[in-house]
Amino acid sequence: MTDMITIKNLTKIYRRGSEEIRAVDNLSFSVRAGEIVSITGPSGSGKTTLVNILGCLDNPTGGELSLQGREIFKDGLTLSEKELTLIRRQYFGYVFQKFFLLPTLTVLENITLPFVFGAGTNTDQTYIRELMTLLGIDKRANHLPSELSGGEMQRVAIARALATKPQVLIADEPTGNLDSKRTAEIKSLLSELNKRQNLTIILVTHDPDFARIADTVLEISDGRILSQK
Amino acid sequence: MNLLSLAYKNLQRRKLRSAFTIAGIALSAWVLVTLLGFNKGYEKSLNRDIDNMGFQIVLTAKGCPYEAATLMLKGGTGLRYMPEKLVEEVASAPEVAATTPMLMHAEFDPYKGENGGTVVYLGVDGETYPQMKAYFEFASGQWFSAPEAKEIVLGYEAAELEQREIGDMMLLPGSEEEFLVTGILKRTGTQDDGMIFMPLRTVQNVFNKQNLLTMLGIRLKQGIDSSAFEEKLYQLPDVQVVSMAQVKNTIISLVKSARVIVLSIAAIAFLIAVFGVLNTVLMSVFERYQEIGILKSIGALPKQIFAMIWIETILLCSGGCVAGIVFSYAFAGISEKLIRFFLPFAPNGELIFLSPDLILSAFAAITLTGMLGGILPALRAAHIRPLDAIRSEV
Ligand SMILES: Nc1ncnc2c1ncn2[C@@H]1O[C@H](COP(=O)(O)OP(=O)(O)OP(=O)(O)O)[C@@H](O)[C@H]1O
Ligand SMILES: [Mg+2]
Repeated sequence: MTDMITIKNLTKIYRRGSEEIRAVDNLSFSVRAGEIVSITGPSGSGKTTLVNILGCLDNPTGGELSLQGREIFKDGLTLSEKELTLIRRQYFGYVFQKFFLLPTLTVLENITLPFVFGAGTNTDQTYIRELMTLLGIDKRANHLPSELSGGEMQRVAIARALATKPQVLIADEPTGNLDSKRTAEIKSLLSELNKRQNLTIILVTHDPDFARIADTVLEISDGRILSQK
Repeated sequence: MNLLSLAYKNLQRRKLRSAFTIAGIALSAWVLVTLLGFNKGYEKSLNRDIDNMGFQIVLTAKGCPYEAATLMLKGGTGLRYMPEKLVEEVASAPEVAATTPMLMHAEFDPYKGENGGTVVYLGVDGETYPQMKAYFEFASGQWFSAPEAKEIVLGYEAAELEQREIGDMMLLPGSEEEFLVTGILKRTGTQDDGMIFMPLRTVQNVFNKQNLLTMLGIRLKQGIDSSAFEEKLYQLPDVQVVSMAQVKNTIISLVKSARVIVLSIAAIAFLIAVFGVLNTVLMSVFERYQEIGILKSIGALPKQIFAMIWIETILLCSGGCVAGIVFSYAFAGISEKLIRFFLPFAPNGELIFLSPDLILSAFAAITLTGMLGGILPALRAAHIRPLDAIRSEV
């Protein structure tokens, strides 16, 4: 398997006055294409900071990051906001703990929102339908988010993240707001998407169950890797 | 779906707030369009009033030109007189096609209105005056039977006000005699509608102004240079030459100063409305901080977010503007009454003239200002980072 994302000596330092917080501390590893990486660790250990940088949503303070061999960050240098946007469009889909659906748009409109901004090549209607069926929200296409359950909203958010056929899905505690039954559903869904589309998934979770579907489990603490399985 | 429909849907989220913002713009657009329309209509109506006078030059006794100007169109107090023998002198000039002598007389009528008011009589020459006012038509009756007849002809509105018909006898304020109504004019849409006409000699005799005139209307022959002839008239002793062009300028300059104030008020109202839009859009940007961050994370470029917010501003402004223009048309009658109430002198006819180019320029002005104002919130939104959404705890 080829490397999707490679990081080397990646560091993120937050400064609050004279205080320095090393949220990510000199990390190096690779994520291979089609791999599911699960990141766990205590609160404040730097999980969100790490995946935001991996997903090119945030800049590291130091170190390197390359995407399929292309250098994105190196020694504090980075690409322009526009170039980063184009890279995000091309490679990534994001799912967060909160769903961030637009309340005035229907389910289908929310899912196809990335196309409004020109992300993805064009709207592949059959693929969108397939995706919605797979996620069990095909009957909800014309509903507003306010008419959905939490689990359904998160599945819509996942569909939106995948609508443009990204190669990497970044999911930061996607089941944090869901009960155990919904969590199990999302888990098997992600596993299914990974197998079908060879989707690379980088997942932050507190749920040890997710470790079962992961190829690699990274446990981090204070910005460092505690264990890697 | 595209950016436009997305922007439209965003506005629908806070329907009441959007509606109020649009109403603000609509109100100021209404004021602006109405005042601009007034700008045009007033001058137009004034021109028409003046063209309908039938003569280009009026000779009056020396006095204040402003007084003369209003006097000619409305009638007033503090009248000055000139000798009647002047008529021959002027009429014999080769430039003159026709003249008509007039004597205006004003009387206070304690029974007019609530607190009494001034009644104005115009003594005219039964021979020459009707020729000058060839467009006069009688609703009933005719001009006077003799130069010294105790008869009156009423303008359309005067007849309506006095509730008189042909054959009625009228006791006029300031006299002890009764006068016979011999004619009622059709509506002309000019000041003449409110006039009470009497034979010149009769006015002179009844009000003791023998051999005196207040005005002499002069019509020039075709192709005569009016200003050159005016110079010539000034050679006459103690007269004032009032040309219609001059009257118009005097009145317009009077109105212009009022207009500047009114237009500044309109401009301020308009600016307040634009700030209202700015405030609304800026607020909605702050409210949607996270959401805009998410749009960024799913691939929106800064310029696309800029466009989206800008379109929202433009939609609010142009929507309000269209509503305001509709108001202007719908309530033109009411606005006209209001303006007439506040204006010292208003010509007859349409005061507010709404033309397509005026509407278009008002629309452009408001929308362009909105676009300019919309740049700030749009820039703010464009610079929101995806991270701002994910990190903020709201
Ligand atoms: N914008 C910021 N400015 C300063 N410090 C920050 C900022 N963002 C995060 N931090 C700090 O960096 C550290 C790592 O935060 P991070 O959000 O990555 O942790 P996490 O592992 O995702 O925690 P949780 O499980 O609670 O989500 C924390 O100490 C946090 O306080
Ligand atoms: Mg976190």
